[in-house]
Amino acid sequence: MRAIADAARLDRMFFALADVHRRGMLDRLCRGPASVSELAEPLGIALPSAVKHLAVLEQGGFVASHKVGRVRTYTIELKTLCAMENWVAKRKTQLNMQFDKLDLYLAEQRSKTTR
Amino acid sequence: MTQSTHTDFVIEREFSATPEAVYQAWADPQAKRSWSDCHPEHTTEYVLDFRPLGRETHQVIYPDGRVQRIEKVFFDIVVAQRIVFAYDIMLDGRRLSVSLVTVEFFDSQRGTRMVYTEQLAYLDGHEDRAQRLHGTEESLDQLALHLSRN
Repeated sequence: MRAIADAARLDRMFFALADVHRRGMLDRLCRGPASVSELAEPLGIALPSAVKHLAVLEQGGFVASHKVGRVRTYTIELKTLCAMENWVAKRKTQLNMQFDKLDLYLAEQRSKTTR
Repeated sequence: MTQSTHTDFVIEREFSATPEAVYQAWADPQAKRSWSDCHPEHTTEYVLDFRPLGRETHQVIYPDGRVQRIEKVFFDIVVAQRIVFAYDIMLDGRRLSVSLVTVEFFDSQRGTRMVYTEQLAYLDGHEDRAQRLHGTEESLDQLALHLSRN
C-alpha cells in the first residue's frame, strides 16, 4: 500500500470504508469491472444513491471510472483489498504448477514402462 | 474478525496417461509427493494415508521462519474415477482457508481429462491482513509525523 502523507486523504479513505453499501460495492468490484446499475442492483439501492457512494469511493482512491459511450464502468484501484481473490489466484497458480509436475511425472512413468 | 467469504473454481487438465495412471499418481505416497511438494527442501513433515477418512499432512517451514501446515481428509475414493477430500491451510497456527475438493478422471483422446473442482471458504483476512495492518500502521505513522510537524 502506498504511504499516505496527509490526514485529509486518510479521512477520505476511512470515511469511504465506513459504509456497508460501499464495502459491498468493493466486494463486487474485486470480481471485475461493473456499471452503476450492476453495482446498485445486488445491494437493492437506487441509482442516484449508488452514484453518490461511488463518488465517495472514488475520492477515497478505492475505485476509478471511465465512460464508454453512455455507460460508465467502475474498476477497483486498491488491489490489496481483494484479499480472497489474491488468495485464490495464488492457490490456482500453485495447483497449476503441481499439475505441470504431475504431467512430467506421468511422462517419466510412461518412458519407464515402454523401455 | 472479518467475515468469511466463499468461492469456487475449476481447473481442467489433459494428460497423456490412462485414468488409472493419473489416479495412481494421487494415491501412491511417493508419487504424490514427487509432484505435489513444491518445497521439498523446506518440508519437515509429509504423511499420506490414502483411504476414506485417511489423512494427508504436509508441513513446510520457510527460511523466514513461517510455518505452513496443510491437513487433508479423504472422503470418497473411486479407483481411477474420483477423489473427494477436504483440506485446510494453516500459516503460523492461523487457519487461512478450508476447502472441499472433487477430482475427477475422464477418458479423453489424449488419455485423461482431469477436472479439479475446489469450493473454498476464505477465513479472516490471513496474510494480507498482516500486510494491511502494516499498511495501516505506516499510514498512521505518517499521520503522526505530519501532525507533529504542524
